[in-house]
Amino acid sequence: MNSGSVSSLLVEAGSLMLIGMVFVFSFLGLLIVGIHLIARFCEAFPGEIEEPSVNVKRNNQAVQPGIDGNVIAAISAAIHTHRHNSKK
Amino acid sequence: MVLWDSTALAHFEAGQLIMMAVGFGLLYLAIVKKFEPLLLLPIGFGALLTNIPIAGFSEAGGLLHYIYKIGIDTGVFPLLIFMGVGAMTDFSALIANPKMLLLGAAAQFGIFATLFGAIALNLIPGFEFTLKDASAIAIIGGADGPTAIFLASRLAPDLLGAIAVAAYSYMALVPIIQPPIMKALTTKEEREIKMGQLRPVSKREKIIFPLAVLFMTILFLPAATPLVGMFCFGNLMKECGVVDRLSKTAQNELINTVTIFLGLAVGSKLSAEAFLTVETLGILGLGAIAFGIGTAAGVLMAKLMSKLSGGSINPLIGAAGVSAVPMAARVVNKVGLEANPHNFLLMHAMGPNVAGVLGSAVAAGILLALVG
Repeated sequence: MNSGSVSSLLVEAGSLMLIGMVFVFSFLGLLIVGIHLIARFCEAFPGEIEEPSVNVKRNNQAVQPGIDGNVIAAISAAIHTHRHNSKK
Repeated sequence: MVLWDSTALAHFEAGQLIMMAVGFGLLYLAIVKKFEPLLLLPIGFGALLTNIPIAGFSEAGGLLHYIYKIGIDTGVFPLLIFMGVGAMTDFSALIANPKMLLLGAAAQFGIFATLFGAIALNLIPGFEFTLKDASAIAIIGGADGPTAIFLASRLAPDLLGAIAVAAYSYMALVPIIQPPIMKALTTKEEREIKMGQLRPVSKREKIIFPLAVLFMTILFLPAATPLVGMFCFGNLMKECGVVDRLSKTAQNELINTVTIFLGLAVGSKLSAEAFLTVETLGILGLGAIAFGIGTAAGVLMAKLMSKLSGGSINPLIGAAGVSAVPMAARVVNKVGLEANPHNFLLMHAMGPNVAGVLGSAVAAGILLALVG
């Protein structure tokens, strides 16, 4: 290959290097902004689909409305002691 | 006499014997040294098969000829692999610390510097790389096998064998190539820097992320959408949580099946006339330089970011910007532990590591758009 065409190729490769790096940086830089936006969006609307279903489950199964948590704790403790004593 | 003519002994050429030795060499590296065995083993065996005289594995009608036509000529195999890689990649380290994308971008300097170097090699008599050849060679610096094979199959199919072998060999050599460069460019104090814990990332962010990447690629760089699109598709399957069966197939059965055929097809390109040239030597040399420059650029960028952020970033993690997931991140962790036995950088290095995968896919897209 003669040196004339090589030097023109070199110029082309150099400009490719410049354009390429600028583009890669700006693309990924833009993606940084994008990730921040996604994070902010997710903070602003935190999982409104998942949480209600979890709450519904809890309401149905564990704690029935109208019964105080302390009462349940007291009954559980009583049952536990009773079982413990009857084992002996 | 007819019987003698039908044996391989009567037809062996020197080149074929040398290439069979290369094939055995690759098998040795895979089996004994355990260098990227998943790929070097099929590639090595493919090299053996394709150099058998008379059998004609790689000529029209031969098995490897068809596998190559179907899988690599069309670009299908590397893209399927990329989908599987997407399904295996966890972006949470990157989403938690998006600045790491800059490191993934900086490390791509290795690609473009090598492009320049490959053209400069033309000044030496014997080398005649066109801009397309040079681009395909330069992508070795992306340290990403499927990307390198995809780009080479588009731009310079003749050089594909040498490029694939160089890419996978150097990826296996990351633990040897990177540490000296990392140590030369950083001080001991810098290597000891501890980094703060990453914030937890919600599932929803992880689902939106691949879609956002895809959307940006569609807008700004459609030439990269084959690579980025398949990658994001795989990642979305993993993160959305509703198609676990598909995601498991993509990251296990499918990627394994494709790897077998991809390796064999690449091996079929290791024929004497294509591989035993002075250009192959040039490609192997340029590949090593590409890796070195990419690593150095990543570390220097991380040093700069460390200075600007008041010393909260360990410059070592810049070296992980040259994809090669997860090997490069492990190397960073290891070098970090040598400086400070209580400093675990693995999670922090995964950020630039996966950013490097995106970066090299973007760089490949640029080369395809401007050179292809």
